[in-house]
Amino acid sequence: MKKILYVSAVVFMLFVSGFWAKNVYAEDTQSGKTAMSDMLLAYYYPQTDAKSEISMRIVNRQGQVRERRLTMLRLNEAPGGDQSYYIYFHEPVDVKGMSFLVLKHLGRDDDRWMYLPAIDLVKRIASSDKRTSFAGSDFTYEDVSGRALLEDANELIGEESLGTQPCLVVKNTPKRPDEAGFSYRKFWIDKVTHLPLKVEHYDLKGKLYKVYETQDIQTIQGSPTIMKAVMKDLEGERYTEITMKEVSYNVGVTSDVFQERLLRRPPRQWIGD
Amino acid sequence: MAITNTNKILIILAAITVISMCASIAVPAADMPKLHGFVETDIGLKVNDDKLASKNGYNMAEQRAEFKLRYFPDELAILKEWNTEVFFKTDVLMDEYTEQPKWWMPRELYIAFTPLSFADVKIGEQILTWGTGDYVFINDQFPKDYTSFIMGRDDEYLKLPSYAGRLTLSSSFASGDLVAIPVFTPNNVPDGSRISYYDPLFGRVVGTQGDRYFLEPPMQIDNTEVAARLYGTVKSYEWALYYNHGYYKSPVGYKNQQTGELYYPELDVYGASIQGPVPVAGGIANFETGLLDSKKDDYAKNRLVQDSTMQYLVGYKRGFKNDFEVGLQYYITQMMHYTAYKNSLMPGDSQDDKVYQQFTLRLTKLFANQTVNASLFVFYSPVDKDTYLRPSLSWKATDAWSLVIGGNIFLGNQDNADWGQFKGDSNIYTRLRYSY
Repeated sequence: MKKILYVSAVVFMLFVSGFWAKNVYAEDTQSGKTAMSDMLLAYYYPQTDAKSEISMRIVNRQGQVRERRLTMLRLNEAPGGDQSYYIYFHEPVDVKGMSFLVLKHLGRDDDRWMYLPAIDLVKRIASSDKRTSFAGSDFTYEDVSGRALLEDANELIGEESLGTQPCLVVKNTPKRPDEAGFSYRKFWIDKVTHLPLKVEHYDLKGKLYKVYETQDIQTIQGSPTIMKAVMKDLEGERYTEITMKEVSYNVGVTSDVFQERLLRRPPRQWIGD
Repeated sequence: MAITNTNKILIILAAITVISMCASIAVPAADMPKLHGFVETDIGLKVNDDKLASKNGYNMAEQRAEFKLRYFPDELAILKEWNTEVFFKTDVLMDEYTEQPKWWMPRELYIAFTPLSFADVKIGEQILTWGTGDYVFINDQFPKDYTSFIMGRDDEYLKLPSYAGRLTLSSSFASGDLVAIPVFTPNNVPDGSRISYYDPLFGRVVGTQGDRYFLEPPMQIDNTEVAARLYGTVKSYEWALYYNHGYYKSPVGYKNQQTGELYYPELDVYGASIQGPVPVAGGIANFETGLLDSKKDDYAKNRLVQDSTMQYLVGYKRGFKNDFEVGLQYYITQMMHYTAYKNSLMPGDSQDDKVYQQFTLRLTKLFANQTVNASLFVFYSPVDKDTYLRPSLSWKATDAWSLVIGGNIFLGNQDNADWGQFKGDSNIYTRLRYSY
């Protein structure tokens, strides 16, 4: 009986200390949360749907360039909630016609499919790791589709101007750093547009390893939109430049579009030839 | 008659030029369809040559050029309204194994259109694929090229095109595919000329001395094959029901055993599958089943035709950190009328087991910013330790150039086993491709 009491006490202490440790690990302040939530809405959720023509230039240490050209359709179910994505590859030529369907769920794994036209195969993607590179670039799936607000603690640590733009500086710390693969990120969020102008990524040892910078913002149909950005991998001495050739909002995508049919028969009105 | 390699490359280049010119003449420059494709050179060397096939030492030495054209005939208003697309894809193959250049190997030539907002139609030569298996097919009864698969050609060539009409009806609740295949296309199975195989008539592995004839069902309206699928997704889980009415695509029935005449017996398949995420553990699990009803077998009383089978497949795949993925499958085939089958056997006939089991494993790891792909696929059947290993390493040197080295390694104790029979065909291969 004594033994059980003793064990329960230890377990209880471990639990309490666990909670306590978690709480002091990173400050989750209201001001930080608000700034981050505004950023997520401005960056990943503008308007109800969007169509983007995207070009990526991946440049490695030797200066060798790989290029990707794709069309992306996005539909919000609710602002800040679940989303549907469709990605169609135009280039490189060996993957032309390959497409992806992603149903993004907050709080559980996304559903992802891939279509290989040469063998008419719709394949369910098993990977739940969002830190894998997006199409071989320096952006991860998570960089492209965002991290849920609840997964991290956000602390407003100051205000700073980047060039002429006044920014809020937010320290973003994952609640489970091992799973997230980084110890924290620092965001410079534009006070006016709420878009991120710069993001520093710190690895699990606290060393800066990846830097994101916005290079061009334009207002499209009333929504400030990032048109050009770069992600630099400091260790690999590589970078990826991402350019929006064209963005349009409210193109009329509906939720019933995001089905297997979309993969087998690309919607030409949005994808083009 | 030997054509040198340089000449062959010149011929391929000439073909590219001619086709580009034709394409540019056929349509106005403004909406000229872009020509895409690749040129490739492949070598496959045998590692354990049984010297039974028609060439010793290798089973693949070929240059291939692929041409793809997509065209939207927007000139006619109705075709534009229907979002009509014409697609053409063909290969020119210089096969040094057969020493016969193949100029005309269309892989796809179809017209696709959407006459109603919920209906898509695709008519012509096309690749058809469905089902949840990875290199294991129960409800996908569309034709396959196992010779290409074994000799180390690209995975793409495992699927053979069908001459078919396909109607797809879509709704958010459920969707349906209805396929009619008026022209029979069989699987390309090893026939001894390139890949040696076990021939039960000889009771051993044979190559060129193999003496088999395959009789295809004649092309008649009554012989049109039908394949249908009803499918949908409920909360991340995909379900599907399948129906196939047609023929076995491999020659699994004897018309005349003495003369080695084989045919493709009638087959109906009824099946179902489900696929979706596994709670807590993560990853994707799938289950597929099918009843293969062998119409000519008469409840296993006919010893010359494959018995009806019940087939099951369970699979699981999961991704891990750093672009590493593991996939496992367990596949069972069970004979439906085993007692009748046993009673029908004659002295000297080899007896199959009632249940056939197979495990598969797929490991995939990407390196160097996803430009290097190391992968291993293993088929393993516990009964005869029957094993087929497919290792491969591919490198995308640039957006245009890629290099693959890999192997098809067959191990096992039995010459009459599914994979063991190909021991003497084991090979390592390399493929160099330029895409444009």
